[in-house]
Amino acid sequence: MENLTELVSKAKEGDEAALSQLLRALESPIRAFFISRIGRRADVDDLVQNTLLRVHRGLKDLKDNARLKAFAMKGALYELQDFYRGRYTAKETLFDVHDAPEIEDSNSTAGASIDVERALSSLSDKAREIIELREYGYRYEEIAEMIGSTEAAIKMQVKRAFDRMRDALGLFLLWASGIVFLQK
Amino acid sequence: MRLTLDDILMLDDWTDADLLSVRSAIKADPELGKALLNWFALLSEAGQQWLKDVPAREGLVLLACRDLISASELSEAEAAMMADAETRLEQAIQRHPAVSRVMDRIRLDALAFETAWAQAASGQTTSTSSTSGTYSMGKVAEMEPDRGPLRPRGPMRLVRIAMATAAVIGSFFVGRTLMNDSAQPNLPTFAAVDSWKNVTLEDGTQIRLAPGAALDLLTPPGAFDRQVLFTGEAYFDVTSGVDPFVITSEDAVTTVLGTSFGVRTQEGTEVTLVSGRVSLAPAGSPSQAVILLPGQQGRITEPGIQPLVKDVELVRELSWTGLLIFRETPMSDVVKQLADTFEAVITVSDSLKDAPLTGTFEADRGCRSILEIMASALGAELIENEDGSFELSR
Repeated sequence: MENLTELVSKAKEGDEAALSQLLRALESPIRAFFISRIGRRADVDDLVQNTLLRVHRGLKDLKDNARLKAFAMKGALYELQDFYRGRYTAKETLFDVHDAPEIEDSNSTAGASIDVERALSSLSDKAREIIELREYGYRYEEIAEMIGSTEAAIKMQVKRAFDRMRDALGLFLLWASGIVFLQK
Repeated sequence: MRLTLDDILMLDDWTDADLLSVRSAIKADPELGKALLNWFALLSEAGQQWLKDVPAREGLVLLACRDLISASELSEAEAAMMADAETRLEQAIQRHPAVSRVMDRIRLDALAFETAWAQAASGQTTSTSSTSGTYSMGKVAEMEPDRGPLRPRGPMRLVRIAMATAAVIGSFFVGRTLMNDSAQPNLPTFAAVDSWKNVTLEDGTQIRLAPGAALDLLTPPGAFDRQVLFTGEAYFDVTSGVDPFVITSEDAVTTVLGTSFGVRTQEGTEVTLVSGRVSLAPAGSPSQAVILLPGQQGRITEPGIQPLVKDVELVRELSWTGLLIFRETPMSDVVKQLADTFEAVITVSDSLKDAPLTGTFEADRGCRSILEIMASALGAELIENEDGSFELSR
């Protein structure tokens, strides 16, 4: 098999066969990379295809043909970041637009914002860090790896953060028999 | 069963099924919905503050991988994004310590990519393709799904070092089974028969081969992949470059940038890091990678099991290299190590005891020669007494 530098060169000159051969050769390491990061799941196919698309579209701008690996890596890392960005957007569709309950302890949007800021500032540094990593798109298990803790400890921090938020918003949460009562 | 608040807080995937279950729980308990809405507002606020303070994700990628991605290959937009990220990074980390975690994670992601690339280049992979065929970087190869890492087949393991000449990439592979198909005639071979031998590769990387070790260049200069074979034990001093070295063994994958470390492959793979940064993962399980810091030793003895990491005393753990390695080591500890090694009496003045020393010395230079170098570096005076003892003072 021709080496990748030659394939890049030919592909940039318009050789469709070389381009096809190049992208097929790239598929295996890119797929293995995504599986290693997020496991074997349907999203991997999309991430692989999107990365190959990035390589295809950007190949003409690759100045040094021998730098293909770094070029492909950059595309794969961008795609992984996009994946994290969209990982938990599903929860944003949780409430029907016409049916959403109002945020507690607020009479206006500005009031709600202030209250939420206050609640956020009441969290411990550790809890704040965990929440930020979660919002970034990492799973609890991944966060535990990142900060050298256990998944159980991370989840405990999240639960405590929720409780702190509840307290900061001046709410009294009675939790019994699986039923939540919220009072001002 | 209806989801409780705790269940919902701990949801990890938020699949469509999860979404339906949560909706159902909220419909049955509106107060739960209000609690969740408050929680999501809090998360959203955290996300908004992050967006305001922290550079874009792509900028973090470029900054985290600046040693891997050449600046000359950045588009104008990327270069601007990276410059912006660089300007804002320090303040972002002060406000959001999690930014450092993300940067570390991105570096790990990059190392995982290097590992996947190196495995494909060697024909090793654990992935399956969804399209018409599976391919390796060097040759078309059939790939088996998750069969697990290779097991050692003999007492002596061999490390095959793969290096790309164009990009100066190196990949090292342990295993007799791997090297048999790859060796080529008429290419240089380096061997340390009964004494230590120092080898310098084209990129400046220096490898100190232990007696009995051998290093064979497998591919000719100019090939996309430059590979060498290594057998035995060695101390690597990898020149910092654009691309990292990826060291794959039968039971471990070690990915390094410019760094110094010792590798031993007897009864598993043991990596002791002196400087720089190393990612060590069981072969075939890159997600189990751990990052080694200077002064740490990682050991893999079982496939698929995360490496055991411990802090070690470098001089003692790397004594087999024939090197005396000190990193910011107080002189009081340095002279103690020298005294133990050479069975000598060495005293150091109080003014020097806390002075940190960084250096690597070949033990066969002898005690006096090493002390002379240290004295010169520290601006100290070395006195050798008639009874053979030494005094260092300043």
